[in-house]
Amino acid sequence: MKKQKILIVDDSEMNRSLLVDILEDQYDVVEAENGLEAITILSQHRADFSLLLLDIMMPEMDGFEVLAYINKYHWNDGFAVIMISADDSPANIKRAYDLGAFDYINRPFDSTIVHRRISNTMVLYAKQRHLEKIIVDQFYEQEKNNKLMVSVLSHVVEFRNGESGLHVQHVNTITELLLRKLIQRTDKYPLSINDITLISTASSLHDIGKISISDEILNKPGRLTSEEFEIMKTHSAIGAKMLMDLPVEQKEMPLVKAACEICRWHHERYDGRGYPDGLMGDEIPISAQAVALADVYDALTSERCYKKAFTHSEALKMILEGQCGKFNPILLQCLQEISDTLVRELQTTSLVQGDKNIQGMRNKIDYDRLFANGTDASLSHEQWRRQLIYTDSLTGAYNRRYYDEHFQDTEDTEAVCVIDADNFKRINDQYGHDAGDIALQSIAKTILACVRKTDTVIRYGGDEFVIIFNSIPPNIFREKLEGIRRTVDLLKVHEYPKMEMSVSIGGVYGRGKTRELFKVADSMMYQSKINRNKVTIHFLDVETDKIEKSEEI
Amino acid sequence: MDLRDCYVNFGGDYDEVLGRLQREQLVQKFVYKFLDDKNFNLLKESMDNGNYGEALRAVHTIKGICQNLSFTKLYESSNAMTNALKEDDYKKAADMLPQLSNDYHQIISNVKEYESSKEE
Repeated sequence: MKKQKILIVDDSEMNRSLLVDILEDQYDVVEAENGLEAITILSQHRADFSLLLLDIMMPEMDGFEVLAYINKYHWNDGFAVIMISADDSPANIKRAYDLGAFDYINRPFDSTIVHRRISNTMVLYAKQRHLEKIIVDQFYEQEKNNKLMVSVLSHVVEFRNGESGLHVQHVNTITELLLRKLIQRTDKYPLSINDITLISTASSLHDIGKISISDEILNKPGRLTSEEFEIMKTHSAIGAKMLMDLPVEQKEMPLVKAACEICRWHHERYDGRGYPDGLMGDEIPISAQAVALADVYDALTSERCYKKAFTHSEALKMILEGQCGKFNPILLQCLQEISDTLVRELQTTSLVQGDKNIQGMRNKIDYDRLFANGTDASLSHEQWRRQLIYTDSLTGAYNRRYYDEHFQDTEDTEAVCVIDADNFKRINDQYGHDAGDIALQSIAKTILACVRKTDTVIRYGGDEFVIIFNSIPPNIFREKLEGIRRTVDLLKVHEYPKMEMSVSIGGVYGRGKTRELFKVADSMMYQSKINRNKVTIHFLDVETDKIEKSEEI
Repeated sequence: MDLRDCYVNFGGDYDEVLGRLQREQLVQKFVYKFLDDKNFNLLKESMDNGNYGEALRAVHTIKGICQNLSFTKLYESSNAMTNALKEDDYKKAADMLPQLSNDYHQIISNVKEYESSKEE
């Protein structure tokens, strides 16, 4: 086996050669006599190294600067850094850990201990990388199978239907585009990117009820008689029933729930004149509203046994004129706004046929669901890497590093709030740390669902979250914070039905340095903490930039 | 004279260093190496020129070497001087230099004597 490579960075030649003597039997050792030399070596050959032994006090560039540099460019994703300074003051050790050092070896060097520390560290690092790879592979495999199953199922329906096989794919694409536009336009519908992915996947099943409709009716070239049409209409309720008849544990799966809503209500119309239930407005779930519109649009622009294909603008005109029934006005606006993308996307999905598409899936792995976070569903490698670095793995919110690197020093933040879970220690003590984790996850999920796509949610520390808002009206800000407080207060965790959760929230409204706004919000949070489950907001006076008034809700 | 006697003479802990490095040859190699180490001269020059940053780095390095080789006496004087320089107390540091120098030369002369006794 090839020896693993270690870089020793120390300005003292004696110390370096002592370490070389201890290590050279087992490892391939490279030396650097100051920080600058280390960075030069690493900038070219960092992939070769498994470990860096780093002194602190050195000429040219000291150990802290080296650590900061490594950290800044995330080089320590590939190797671990162990500090070896003779200065073992707690302040220095702590600073090194804060800057991303993995461990600290005290002087004097004991050859056995040095060996053990180093081999343990390398094993741990290698294991972690190996596990990451396994998870990604498994996730990819599972995602591929899921999509494959859904696509097989929907093709069965279409095959019987005599349709091109592209309808399902188109509805899928249009639904996703519509919903993504929708959450940009309004925060009326609290959909995360994950929800949208789920809904568009579920949309593939919208017509499964057609399996029960006879061939004569389903594939009749001419117009249906009114009795035939009544039979045809049953497909939506039947589709939903097929899903409701699944065993309870499957029926409860989010995908099945979404598919069920879509099956039953994708022929409802906004004015209540659709079927089967004649639901009106937002009585119809937004998932079904979007699929309904996507379904109609694609039906119009495709050739069917009973009609020719309309162009995009013809179809859009017919829909806007209400020739296919009434739709949610906001969705209609979204449809108009996505016109260009729609024409382009649907042309490409038509060109790219079946199996090519499955190959293409690798690029479309939904890392969002793996490392749950609300940015973009189809991530490039770089984006994915950034997500790993900046995402809190427990809650899916951004992590402290993201805040420190992106917001600390910005000056155009409009509002900031600090959210702290109440009695979190008691939850941990009473129900255990697993319960604590679940509580944190549910709280984070609630916060993420309550804010807009443009707001940034950060897990700042243990049970403390920070939200950074960009351009938000004051009343909406207040409503959002109150909404979060209220929703968390009502939260119930399935596994621990008796567990009660609440949060204390401090907010500050007004432009300023994030760092300063944060301080104010934090002190407001402590004010809320006095009675708990409370929101306290300070509104900064624009003229004097001083705190003018605070209000409690 | 063996290496243990040498350590006793200049105020070091031979058992401790052997326990850590495990081979007498290795200890001997680094003790010889210490004869060529430039940090003591660097320290003296830097103190003379008032270049205290450089002096701190040199004495800090000496301290680290002493830890690794269990040069107990020189470790104590170099550690004290490191602290004085860290606190920017240059006068105190300068006052400590003769003691450190003494401890250093004790090691050098003893190691040289040991080296020549081995050669005979």
